[in-house]
Amino acid sequence: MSQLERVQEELEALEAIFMDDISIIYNERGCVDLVKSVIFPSTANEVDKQYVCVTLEVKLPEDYPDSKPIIALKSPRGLDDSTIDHLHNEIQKKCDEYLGQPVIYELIELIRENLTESNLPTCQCAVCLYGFSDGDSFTKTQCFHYFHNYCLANHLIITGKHFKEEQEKLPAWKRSTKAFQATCPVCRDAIYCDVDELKTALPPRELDDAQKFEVTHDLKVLQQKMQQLFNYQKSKGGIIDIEAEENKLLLITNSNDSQVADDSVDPGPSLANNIAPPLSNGLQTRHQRHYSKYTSNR
Amino acid sequence: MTDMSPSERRLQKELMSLIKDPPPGVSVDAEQAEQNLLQWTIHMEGALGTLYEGEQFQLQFKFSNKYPFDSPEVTFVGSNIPIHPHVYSNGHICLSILTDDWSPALSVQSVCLSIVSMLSSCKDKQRPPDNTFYVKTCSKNPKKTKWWYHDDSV
Repeated sequence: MSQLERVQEELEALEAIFMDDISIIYNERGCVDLVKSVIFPSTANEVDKQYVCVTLEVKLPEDYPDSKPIIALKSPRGLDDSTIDHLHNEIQKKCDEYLGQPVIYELIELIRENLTESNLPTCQCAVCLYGFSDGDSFTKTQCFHYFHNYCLANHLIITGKHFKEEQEKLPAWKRSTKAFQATCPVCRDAIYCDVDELKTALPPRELDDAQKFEVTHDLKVLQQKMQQLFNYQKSKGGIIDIEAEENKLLLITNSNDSQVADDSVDPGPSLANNIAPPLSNGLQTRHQRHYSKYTSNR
Repeated sequence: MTDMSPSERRLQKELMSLIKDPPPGVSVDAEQAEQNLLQWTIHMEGALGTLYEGEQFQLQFKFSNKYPFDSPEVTFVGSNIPIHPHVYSNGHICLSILTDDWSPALSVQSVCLSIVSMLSSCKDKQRPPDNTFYVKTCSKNPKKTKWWYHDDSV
């Protein structure tokens, strides 16, 4: 069998299996230029549940199948870069394995299996930039873009409101006769959604989880240490009650006693390392702490 | 750490990616943005091989708490306002994605890229024809201007 016949036979078989799901593009010389197929995960014909897809483009070199076809994956939807890279690797392995034999059917099946396994968008919501977790309610638009229902609802409500406001500003004869048309935030294609239903969705989990602030063990320990320090300072008169102090007279003694500087070297309890020496009188603390710093620098 | 609104969360995410992986010639004043997430200053270099090569510009982004559903307020600030048919001498920019064509799927990064591209395609450095009049009469906020987008060539 000649090369051309082998290729022809493979393509006929593909057309018989995939029918309209595959398109074969011929060049002006009548040779096969490109084999193209949009691949979806298998979901027992439930189109609503197909959340990802990719377009496979196979270019056949003249001596195919004795040399490897050139593969391109285009318009991936709901798939992030790492998933695509993984798919590319798998495809190359398959091509090596099937060198000299028809491989296109195998490739389509390989991709379909992979998509079926990861039939949950691995990309991020373009609105909040967070991913999709289990339990998040999200929408796949007709143009295969993904949004949390919560985010999409906000978008639709605000653009709808904006449209109305802009219309009201215009004189009657200039107003658009068309009703508001919601568009996809990513590609601006028209989308048709029920805002009232979307509105009921909870915020995305990742967004919500990130907001939660938990008191960890470390924080509790830190809190306890600070409390101890506070009590220590208070017992030594280091904490000043501003209201009580306001009615007192402030007396500053300017004694040049070097003892003050030495005192500050004694750290006291380990917690109070950075705190001035314990003193009995709160008023003096302020003055002397300042002073001791000054003398120790000299 | 305090509770953050969804818009702050998104801005934080954008700031991180802009610091880690900025488009060529673009850098964000990270310290200022961290202090106040709602106002960023971005330094931009004129692209190589264009009329603006070697020039430095500063862009100011102001966000409302409705971001990303509401577009940011973007103006050129500082001593060097690019001379371009769509940039007024007070820093206001006539660019459709900043008002009518804004979409929440756009980002600070994509706006910066659009502005670099707008500057790059310029063939003749000129101020807009109505510059003097507009600058005298416009609001401080460019989003309050009713822009008329008609020239796609630059």
